[in-house]
Amino acid sequence: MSTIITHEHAHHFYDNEQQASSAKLGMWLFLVTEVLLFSGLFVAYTVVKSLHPEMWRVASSQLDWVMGSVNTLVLITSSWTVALAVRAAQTNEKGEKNSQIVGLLAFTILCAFGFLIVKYFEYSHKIHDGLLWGKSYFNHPEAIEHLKEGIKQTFSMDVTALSSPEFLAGLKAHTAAGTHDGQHLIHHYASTVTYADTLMTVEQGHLFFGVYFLLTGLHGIHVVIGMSVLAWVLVLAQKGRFYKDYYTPVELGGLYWHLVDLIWIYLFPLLYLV
Amino acid sequence: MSSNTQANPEYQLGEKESTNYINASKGLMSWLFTIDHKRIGLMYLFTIMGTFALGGFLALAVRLELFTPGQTIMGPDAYNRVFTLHGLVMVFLFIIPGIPAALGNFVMPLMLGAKDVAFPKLNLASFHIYVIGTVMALYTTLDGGVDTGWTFYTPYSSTIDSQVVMMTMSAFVLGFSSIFTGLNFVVTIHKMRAPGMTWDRLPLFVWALYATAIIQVMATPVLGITLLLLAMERVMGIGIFDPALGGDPVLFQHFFWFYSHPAVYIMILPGMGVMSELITTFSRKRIFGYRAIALSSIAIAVISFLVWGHHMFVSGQSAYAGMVFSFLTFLVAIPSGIKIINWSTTLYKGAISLDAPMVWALSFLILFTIGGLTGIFLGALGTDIHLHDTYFVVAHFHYVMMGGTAMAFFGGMHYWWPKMFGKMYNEFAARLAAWTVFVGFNVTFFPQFIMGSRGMPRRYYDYLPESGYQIFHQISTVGSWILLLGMLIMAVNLFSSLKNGKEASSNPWEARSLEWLTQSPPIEHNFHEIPTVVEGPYEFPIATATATPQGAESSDP
Repeated sequence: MSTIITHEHAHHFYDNEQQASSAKLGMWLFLVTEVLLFSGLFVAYTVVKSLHPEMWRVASSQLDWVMGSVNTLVLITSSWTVALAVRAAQTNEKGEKNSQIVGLLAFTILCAFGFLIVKYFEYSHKIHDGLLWGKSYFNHPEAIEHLKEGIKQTFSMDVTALSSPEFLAGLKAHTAAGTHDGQHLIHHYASTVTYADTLMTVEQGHLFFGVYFLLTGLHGIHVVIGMSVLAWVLVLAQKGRFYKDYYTPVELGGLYWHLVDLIWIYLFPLLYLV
Repeated sequence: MSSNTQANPEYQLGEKESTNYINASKGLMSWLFTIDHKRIGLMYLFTIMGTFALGGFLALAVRLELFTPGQTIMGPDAYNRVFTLHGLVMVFLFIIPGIPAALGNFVMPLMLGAKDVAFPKLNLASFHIYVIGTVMALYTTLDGGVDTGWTFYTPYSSTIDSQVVMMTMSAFVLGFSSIFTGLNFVVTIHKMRAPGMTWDRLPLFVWALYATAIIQVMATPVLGITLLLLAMERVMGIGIFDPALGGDPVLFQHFFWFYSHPAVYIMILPGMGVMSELITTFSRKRIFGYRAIALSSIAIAVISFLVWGHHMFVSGQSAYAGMVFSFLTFLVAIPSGIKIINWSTTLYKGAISLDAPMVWALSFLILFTIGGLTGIFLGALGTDIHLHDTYFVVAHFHYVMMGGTAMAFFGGMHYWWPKMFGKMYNEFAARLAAWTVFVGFNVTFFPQFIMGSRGMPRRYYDYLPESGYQIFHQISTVGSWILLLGMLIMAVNLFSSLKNGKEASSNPWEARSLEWLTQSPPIEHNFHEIPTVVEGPYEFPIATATATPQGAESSDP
């Protein structure tokens, strides 16, 4: 190589600028893959919701929108502080201390912790009530009771009398056998189709919670990854690495954190408010 | 390396140095943890040869079993596992990484005039992840394997008792390898081009890799989440794909093909890129319609995302959706046709030499055309109902995947072999292998079109003696032996060339892209100086003048 190596860039780049812009493009592409990863779950959300709209309405009313709102605020705040950290790095002179960056990143990571703590309380509440996915849902009789209560509130209908476990079991056996009796049974016990629908609603509530746990679980994993990335950037900042000509890690970490935030901005209304 | 140039002012281009990327450092660790794209490319190449051999022997076993009705060499359960594994190995371990990760890794940075890919460590990580995924798949196989077919359709895959979770996780891991390679390539092509290497001077192989990489980045995450959902379906009983729990099994098919249809273009596009290189070099003629070929790769990449529903014409999706998907499927024929016609026009009045890589390229041209045209039968709603899930489909995608991609892979391997190892193989044996494979391929797969159109279903273990299918199965099985023979000739020839081959010059084919500028095998950092590119890659000089690469290394840019 003819160029004298005084810059920090790796051997296969011409200069810092080429390296920084490559890293940034790489990060954006990575974010595209992340969005597409979640897009699969969003499609699953849409399909299941359109298959069982009434169930969705009842089941989603079981989520605590206050906790969701708090978490949304926490994440938006953290996105703001991480943006400030990038700005601080961009304005730092060479040789200057990175203390402002360190402080802002530490606050961001603190917010992420706060988010996870709220999530922990939400999860443990759902687990306690048996509002879970698939098999686990059916193992919790309380879960069915909760949804019945939800139906009562959402549709102003009382379903306690006719949705006894024996009735549900009978209905399931008949519909599974595919006989006309199954349809008969529904009409015999329920005067309207809506009523039968509400019974189905109780049965299929697990689908909503399956999607809920998948989406928030995958998002939660991303929060943890984001925290680790930011913690690593924080360690570098503590060593005073960043100044106005070199701040790629701060910027990339920030980009990733914004994505984690952005996904939550979609999850919150879709799960808690719709 | 610059010190070398300065210490020796008489240094001239083309003079061979004793150190190259192969002998620059020694020991197993210097290979396993290298970040040199050329070494990573070679490690991919040898791993992929191994997986191809494995997939090939599984295919031979399938063909042998079908030689006679009833049990020939294995029972139905074993048969289901063997054909599933054949599909999984060939798709995920051979074709998808084949050309981009092995040949592309080696050649693409050289073609750009770059010293390496943009993210060399990520490149190494891709390889390690690929190996982990491969080991997981092989472990699953030894642990009982899966019999779902490579498509993992639910609810069968979510309910039967086999190693589906482990196998899907293996494909999930392999997906990450594919995503990282694609991401690396996109950034490399955007940011690492040498001075003067404008987009319209890029070799068409690079254009094809670019289109491929975009699909890898945009489609593979969806496969990831699909396989994750399938695993969750089995582990947690989520029920999204299970009708008994209120889910929808066709949703799985939508998810699966949203990845897997673009994935067939991940498989074929790099092959098309290799074709463009081979056809021009061995016709010694400027490629016809450079821009049309380059942009048709991008067009294929875009359309590939819109046609997945043509796998589900008989799965119960809406008839209107079927019509739309059928129409969009026909659109793919346009860019594919553009390529075929441009290659043919390039051959026209070219100075064609039938060197071994060119024989592979011409095989591709013929076989891919047959594969592509039979795809139109399957894309049409009416004929698909008759042909769906028959051997016609099997023959169609083997003509495209093996007749197309694999032929291009072997052609490219023969083309760049002298560059990779600095050795020439025996030309006669190489041509013999290529022709043998061409014959064997047609004997194997052409009868499958006929028996498929007569109704032989794919994936079946057995057929009735009086059904009339036996003769086609037997011709096909004999063809698979001819294929094996051709492959063995190729393998022996290539490997013996490493020992006994003649020394290769830096540009044995008189090609024009930049990988032929550096010596064979290349030095560790590819070029002494970053080359400056002065013209396009296919401007061949007239008559007998020697063709030289499209740019030159300048000592002081």
